Amino acid sequence: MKDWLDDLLSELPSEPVRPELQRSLERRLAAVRRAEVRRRRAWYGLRALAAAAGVWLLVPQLQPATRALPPLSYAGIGVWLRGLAASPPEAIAGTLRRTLDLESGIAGNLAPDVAVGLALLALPALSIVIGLLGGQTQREASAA
Amino acid sequence: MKGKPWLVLVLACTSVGLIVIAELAFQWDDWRVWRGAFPRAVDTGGLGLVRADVGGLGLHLARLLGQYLLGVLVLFAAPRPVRRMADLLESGGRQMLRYLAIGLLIAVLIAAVAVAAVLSMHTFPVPFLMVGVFFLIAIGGTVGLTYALGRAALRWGGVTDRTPLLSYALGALLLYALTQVPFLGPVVLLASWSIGVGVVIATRFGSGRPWTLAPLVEEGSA
Repeated sequence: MKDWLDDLLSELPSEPVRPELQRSLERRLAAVRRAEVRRRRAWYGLRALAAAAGVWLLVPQLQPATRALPPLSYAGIGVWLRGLAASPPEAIAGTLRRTLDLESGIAGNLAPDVAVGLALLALPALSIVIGLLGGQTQREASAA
Repeated sequence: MKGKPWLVLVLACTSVGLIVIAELAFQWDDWRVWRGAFPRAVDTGGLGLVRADVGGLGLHLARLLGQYLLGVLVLFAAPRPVRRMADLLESGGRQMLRYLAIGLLIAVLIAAVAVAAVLSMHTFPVPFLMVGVFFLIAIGGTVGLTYALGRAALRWGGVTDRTPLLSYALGALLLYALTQVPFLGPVVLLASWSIGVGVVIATRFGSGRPWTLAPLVEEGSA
């Protein structure tokens, strides 16, 4: 059963569609897409810039950091294993002492540039990995 | 389509030949640009086989066998994750590039976190743990890559009644031979490890579940 309001609505004159409405909508949509592309490019550029700055800060610091590390060799491991077999508590205490010395040595030798460089390098890497993994999940979901 | 198993045989023989040539004709410790790609072959006038070379070839055989047995252990320990990774790796070159990028970026991230962890006393052991985990991930992913490579090669030769162990054996031979090629070998090794890490991370350790923080969001909104 039709309501009297339906009759009233059907008798109302419909609002004419402006002829330029479709064109203005398309223009607006194109502008939104262009802004999106610009934003994405700016984000990519920012990430590349941050990564480049991170590499630039880190590379000069690598040599001092690697100098602090003890040289690894099979002979050294053999000596340590023999020491461990002969006197386990002494070997473990010695290893702990050397580890703490190494930690304070590395922390003391590292310049603040390293922390900034690491952050500048790690954050874009994390962002790209999240993007790559997220893209894959979306593709798998759409395939399913 | 009729199978062409001889293609697989040719591929396997080429791989063995590559290993033999790399062992007998190349010398890492006495390499110079002006002596060409295979300086030892230039010195000896060919592939001269002396007693020491037999030991070298035996060492290659032992390494190959070791890698094969390690892979077989992984195949038996985690057949479904390996299958999932192999299926994804065979889905195209673009996917392979994606996994390569993920692997390299994860290596950068782990290095950054490891160096940052060294700076604090209570997180000092973290880098050692991370290197161990990264190593295990790389091994697992490389097994998936090796299996996918062997399976694709067998499929290419039309050998359909294959066992996973045969696929893995062929893949291990192909990958090992490629890693022995002078100069290309280290690049192949780095790429295969990166792809391995990438595919393990992308499949969330072979489980196929997505990386998402949704459970945390649901917990928060509940």
